[in-house]
Amino acid sequence: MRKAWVIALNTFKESLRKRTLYIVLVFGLVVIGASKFFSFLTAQEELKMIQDVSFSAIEFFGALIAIFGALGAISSEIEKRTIYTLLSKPITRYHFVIGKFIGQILILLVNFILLCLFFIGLLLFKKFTPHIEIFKALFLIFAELLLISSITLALATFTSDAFNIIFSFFLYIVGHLTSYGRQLMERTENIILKGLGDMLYTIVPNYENFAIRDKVVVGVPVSWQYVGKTFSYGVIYIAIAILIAIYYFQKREV
Amino acid sequence: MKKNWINLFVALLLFIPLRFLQVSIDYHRKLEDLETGLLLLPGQAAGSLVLSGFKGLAADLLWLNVEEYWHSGQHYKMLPLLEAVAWLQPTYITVWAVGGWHMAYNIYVQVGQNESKLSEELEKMKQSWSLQEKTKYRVLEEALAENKTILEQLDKKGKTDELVRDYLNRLENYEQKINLLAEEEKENKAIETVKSLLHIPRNKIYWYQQGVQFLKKGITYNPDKYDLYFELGWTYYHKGMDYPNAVKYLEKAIKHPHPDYVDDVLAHAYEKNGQIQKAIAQWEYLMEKAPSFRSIAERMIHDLKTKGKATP
Repeated sequence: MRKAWVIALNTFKESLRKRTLYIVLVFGLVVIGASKFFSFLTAQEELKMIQDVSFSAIEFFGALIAIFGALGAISSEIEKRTIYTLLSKPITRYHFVIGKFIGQILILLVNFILLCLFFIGLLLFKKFTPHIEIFKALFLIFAELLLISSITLALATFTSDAFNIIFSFFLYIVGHLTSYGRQLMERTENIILKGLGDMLYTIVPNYENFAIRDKVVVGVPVSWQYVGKTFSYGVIYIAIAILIAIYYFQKREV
Repeated sequence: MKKNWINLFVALLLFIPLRFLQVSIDYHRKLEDLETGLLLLPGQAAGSLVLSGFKGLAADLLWLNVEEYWHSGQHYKMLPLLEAVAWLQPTYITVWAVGGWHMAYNIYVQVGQNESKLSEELEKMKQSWSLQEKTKYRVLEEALAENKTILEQLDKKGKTDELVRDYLNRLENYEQKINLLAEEEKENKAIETVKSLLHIPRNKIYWYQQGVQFLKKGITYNPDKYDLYFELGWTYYHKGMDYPNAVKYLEKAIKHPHPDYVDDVLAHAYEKNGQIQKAIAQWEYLMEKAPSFRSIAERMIHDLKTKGKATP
């Protein structure tokens, strides 16, 4: 595990040198800050707008960081041929993939914490004490970002960067629509179509599970049980993605 | 390397617990009211946001449009947007409350704003009428007088179902007479002006009822909170002077955790509805529950017991 940790730290340090991540982070902070300009609305409406914009910015810019971070994690090592040096050392491909993913977790965590601190600061500035539900929503957003990152990393082991980026964004949108798809499938009487829909519903990552922020903003309480189950869903899906990443990376000729 | 297939096998196996977990999550989403319906929204930006899972942000964008339409007086454009926001976030009580208020109060007032202008125009036309025309157009004058009375009664007597039926019958009676006159004289400006004036009370009734309906719809999504029962009760009480319905909904409001002013309004509603004993009991309850209401409650109880009337 120490070997994976070394790669993780190296991935993290390398990403700190990338300007793109800083630009995305600054954009995220600007968008969250801009939500302060809804002061022409009533206090209650303004607070809702600040929360909506901030949650969305944290998720959207977090997703950008997750996708772009994971995208280059493996391909850049191959392009720069640094992977040869790495794999010639006593580091297995398994360590390499795990290390890269832990590195992505660190990158996401730092960016996520910065965005969250700014958001919480804004709420406190508006004399609103953040309640536990807000932290539940943030926790699930972070779990979703980890899942997005793991899927992009898995795809990076066997597809080109161009395909990966398109597919990751496509999956992000589809992943938010699977619940609606299920609602439509429930109405069909064709057994084959129903079975196919069921299968797709299981295979496609259901990002909508993590989206409780819209409800939290309007005061709908979310149970810890739900948070726990959704987090477990995320962990299992991440495990699937990482195992697939290991499988394909082991097979890949570099 | 040789056992690489195990990774893939385990990954595929993990879809089984994942499936069970998803079923359990779906159950929780239904149980905890975390599901949202899909809606194709007006406006490309909002639609795209919904597709990407940013429903709250889409609702906010639409809400900003509602504000813009309100300030620019484009009331009819507000309606589909209010419905859309409410559909996106049905538990966002403010949308229902503000939407109902816009309809029953603001738009209600707004639709009558051109009344004086139309009346002035008609007055000018009347001055140029010959004696023969004055006799011929007597029905217009009568309709106008009736229209004024109905407009006054709407705000003074109220808008109970019974009263609304009466107003509409009276309006229809004159509308029929005017339509007959309009068939004889096509494109007569005076007739068209009176027709427009007769539309004002109709529109007012329409918007009041729309507001009430919107609040009722909001209640179906938020039956466990006092807010919309109170808003509806207040609209019936204050705008509609429909006291039986006001009491009905305010009584429902106090069944849920609520602030003290809800009890206060209910006490007034009881009195206006003729339930004096209940009004006294409600004030007594409020006096014990909320010390800040003590002085007003004492005065109200005294007036109700001595004069049988306390609310102005």
